[in-house]
Amino acid sequence: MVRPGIRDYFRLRPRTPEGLAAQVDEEIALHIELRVQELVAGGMDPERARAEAERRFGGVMRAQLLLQRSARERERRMSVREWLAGWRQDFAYSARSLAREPLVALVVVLTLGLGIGANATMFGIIDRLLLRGPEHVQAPHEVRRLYITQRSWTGVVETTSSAAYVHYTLVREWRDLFTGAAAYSIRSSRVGRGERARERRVGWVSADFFPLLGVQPALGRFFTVEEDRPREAQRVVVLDYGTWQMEYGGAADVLGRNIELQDERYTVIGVAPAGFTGPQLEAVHMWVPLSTISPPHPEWPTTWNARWVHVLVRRAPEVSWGTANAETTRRYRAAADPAREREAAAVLALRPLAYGAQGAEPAELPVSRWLAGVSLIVLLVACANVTNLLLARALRRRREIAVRLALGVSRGRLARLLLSESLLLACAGGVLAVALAGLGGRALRALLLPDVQWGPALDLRVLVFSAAAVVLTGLLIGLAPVLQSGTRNLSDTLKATSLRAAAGRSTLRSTLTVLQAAFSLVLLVGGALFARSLWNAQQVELGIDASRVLAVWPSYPASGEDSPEAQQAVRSRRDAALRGVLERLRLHPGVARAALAIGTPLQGTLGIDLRVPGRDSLPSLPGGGPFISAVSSGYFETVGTRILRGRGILPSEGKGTAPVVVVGASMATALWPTEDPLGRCLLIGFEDPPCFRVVGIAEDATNQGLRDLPAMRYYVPLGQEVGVGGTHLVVRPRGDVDTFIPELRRLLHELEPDATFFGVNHLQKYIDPQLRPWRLGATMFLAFGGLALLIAAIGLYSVIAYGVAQRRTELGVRIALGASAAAIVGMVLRQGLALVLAGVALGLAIALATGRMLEGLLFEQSARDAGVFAAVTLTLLLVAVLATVVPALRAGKTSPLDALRTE
Amino acid sequence: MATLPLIKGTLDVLVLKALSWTPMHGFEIARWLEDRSGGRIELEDSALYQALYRMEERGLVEAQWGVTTNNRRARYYTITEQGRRHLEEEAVRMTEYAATLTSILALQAPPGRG
Repeated sequence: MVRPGIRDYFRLRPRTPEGLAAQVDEEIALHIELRVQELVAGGMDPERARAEAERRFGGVMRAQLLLQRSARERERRMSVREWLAGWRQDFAYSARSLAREPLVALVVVLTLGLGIGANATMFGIIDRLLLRGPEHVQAPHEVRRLYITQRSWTGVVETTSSAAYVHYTLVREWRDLFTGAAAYSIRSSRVGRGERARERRVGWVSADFFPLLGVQPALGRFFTVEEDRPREAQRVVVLDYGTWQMEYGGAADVLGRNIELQDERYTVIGVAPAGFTGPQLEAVHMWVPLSTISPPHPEWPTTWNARWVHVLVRRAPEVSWGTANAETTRRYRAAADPAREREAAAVLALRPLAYGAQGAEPAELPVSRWLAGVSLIVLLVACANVTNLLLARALRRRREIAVRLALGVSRGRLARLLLSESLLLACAGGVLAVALAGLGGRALRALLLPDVQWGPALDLRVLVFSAAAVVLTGLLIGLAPVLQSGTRNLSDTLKATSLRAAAGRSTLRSTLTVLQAAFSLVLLVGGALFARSLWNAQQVELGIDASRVLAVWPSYPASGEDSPEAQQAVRSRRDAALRGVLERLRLHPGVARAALAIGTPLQGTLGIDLRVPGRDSLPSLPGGGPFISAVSSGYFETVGTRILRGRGILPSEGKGTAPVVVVGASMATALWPTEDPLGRCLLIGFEDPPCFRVVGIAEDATNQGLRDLPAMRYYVPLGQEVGVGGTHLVVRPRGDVDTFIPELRRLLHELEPDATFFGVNHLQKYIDPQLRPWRLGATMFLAFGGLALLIAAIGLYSVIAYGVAQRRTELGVRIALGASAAAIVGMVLRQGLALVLAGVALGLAIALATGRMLEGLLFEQSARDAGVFAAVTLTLLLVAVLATVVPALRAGKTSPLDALRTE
Repeated sequence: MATLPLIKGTLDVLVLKALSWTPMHGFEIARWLEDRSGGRIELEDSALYQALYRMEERGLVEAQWGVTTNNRRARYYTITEQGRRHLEEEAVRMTEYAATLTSILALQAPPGRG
């Protein structure tokens, strides 16, 4: 008998069902034949022997079919098992062979880990911001917010999502367009009383809010239409899941408990599901019926004048958004009072939930989209680098591979072996990437987008994304070595010396190096542009020291007075009390300056009638206005607005003294472009106002923050204002602003026990979110750019070092022929720099071409800033020299004797 | 003497036992079983092949085409490591089962009865 076990070497495994059936038949035939021989040998005649053999087999025809079927089943299962076993073998072999070159493996895994990790991190962010929509919202892309574009009272055309309650009741009726509509207002509201009171984000929402979003309560129920009926509303509250867990320990008996919200008692009826944040992404602590809000306007259910809610709609399935927009505008204009010109000309549009209050995409979104693209480039750079390393490795292994091919290993099988190696590397990189995404993602989210309520940094979607990235990366980096192994001429390789085999292979590797350098440059340019934008934005003259100033808003219990006279008396008493508080605050060692004001920058704008003697109408400024402020003495010093000419408000000025006014610089120029504004007259207020004499000109102070356009603003002494209210304190602490807040609160409650709460706003908190897009862009672009540069530097180093090692013989010959070490070093350096310079040229071209697309995201920064380009280019060249100099020096030390002897 | 029907699972163990000596083709296995049992095991030959295919699928045996002493192509079956382990475990289990059965059936009726 021939020893079995060689079948696979001769490829005897049947590939077709026919072949398999023939094998089964052959096996049966042999069995029958041998049985017949046995029986005949025992004395039976041949014919009977055959019948007996077939009987004992159990019916040949039947057995044949049965066995063929089970043989097919066997082969099917075994081929899967063998396929898997083959992969296992290949993986084990790859692991062993990589372990022999731990440095290469380490660099590859690190590179891939960083590249895939960057993508996993960005995917986690993009997924929440753009793809998935707010948590628990069913089909979030079918839900949109209503935006109204119309001329405001200041004459500026504005787009805003702030709507009147009637907008909601109107839209709600259009059942043919929308399957649902809801109104909501999310605002900071006071929970509790006195010193223990806290500000919480409260969602004031209509009863159809939850059904529209398609969310189910985690506990209890949501409120009903009856509980949200205007003027008959019930004070019930649905807690946020996080609030329920943190403040009530997740107790099931929370239902029926009471919460004091804005001095009113609310009963808990339910808990929203974990992670629910309504139509936006920021956490909300509790949800209450919209109609229980303290009315912003006495006629709020029917007036067009109070714009205080946002309106959501869910599109009917057969209606396109284009149709919905056009119809909404048409029907709205038809329903509006034609006498109200501004409303009759308004344009209504439905825009995605991710859009901001001004109807545009917040800058974080396009920046994040760019960053996702950038992270992909980082991964490509990483892949290019890894491909380079693996190609070098494949060159070292070319004889092993050639031997395998010569021994008859199929090219498919060889490709699998090479792929298993790259997949193994990608998997190890993927593990590192997931760890990085978990750590980095959390830090990134907290630092750069702190308001968004994030889920865990590593959820299933991020893991699936990472797994897909690993497989794709593995295939991508395995591609070049596999293709290379497929095209190589066998006998040449087996015969070739190392010198000859190396030639001609470096083109691909050089190209990859050039691309790496180019992409690194592009990313670094992007990073530098964002960093410059951030710097520019931080240098903007706001006209106030936002980082140094606190605005303090007192709240009082309802006065219970009905008559306007009595209410006025209460207001006067409280204002007098506030003046007392101000005097005491000014004496406190922690307070540098303090003042009282109505209408402070970043705290909302107020406007009343204003006329200028000798002018029919007011000029219109792009930022709007005129906006009125009423301020006590010391106000300008407290908020940090400089007086450019004349004087500010004096301590003696107020109610009953001669009317004076300080005018903002833009307003002064707009009203009196050629004359001296000082001494001029403004008529402020209704009917027959007195003449307010201009006594000073102040620098322009911001209304909204960074991207503010020139607006008209003026200041009258506190007490001389008409028709506006909302007296609050502005405080400039001596030391750290945020740490002074608790002390300030304590002091205020002690000085003014009548107030139920003091809302303290650090003005910087309005500026920080505006800086965020550039902070996000600068941080991430630079991080990714630096990463790409590091990877490219490693790549360059490896290409040059490998080239030097390959050319040892040639270098040895050169030295033997009298080339100096310096000449050799110079030659290698030139070679490296030539690659990088090509990369720089390509990168500059790409950066110049794509920069324009980035320009809209930058802050007062050209995307073609020569300084930025020069600085980045120099950085790249410096790194290139550093990466090249080590192998160059080694090349200079080549010993001709050794080099020639090894060949 | 009557022939014995095979209890389920027994055939696999017997075949593995046969192969634990040396690789064999199907007919050799059938002959081996007939010889060792003194012809007392009743077995349809096709059932033997079904058992072989099943065990091949489970990785208990491997099959290769080889050549017999008479120069005929035949499919030879070899026991695998996994097959050996299976054989050991099953042999122990079956032996214990048989011993238990024997000891119970060998019990004498208590005196004074019957």
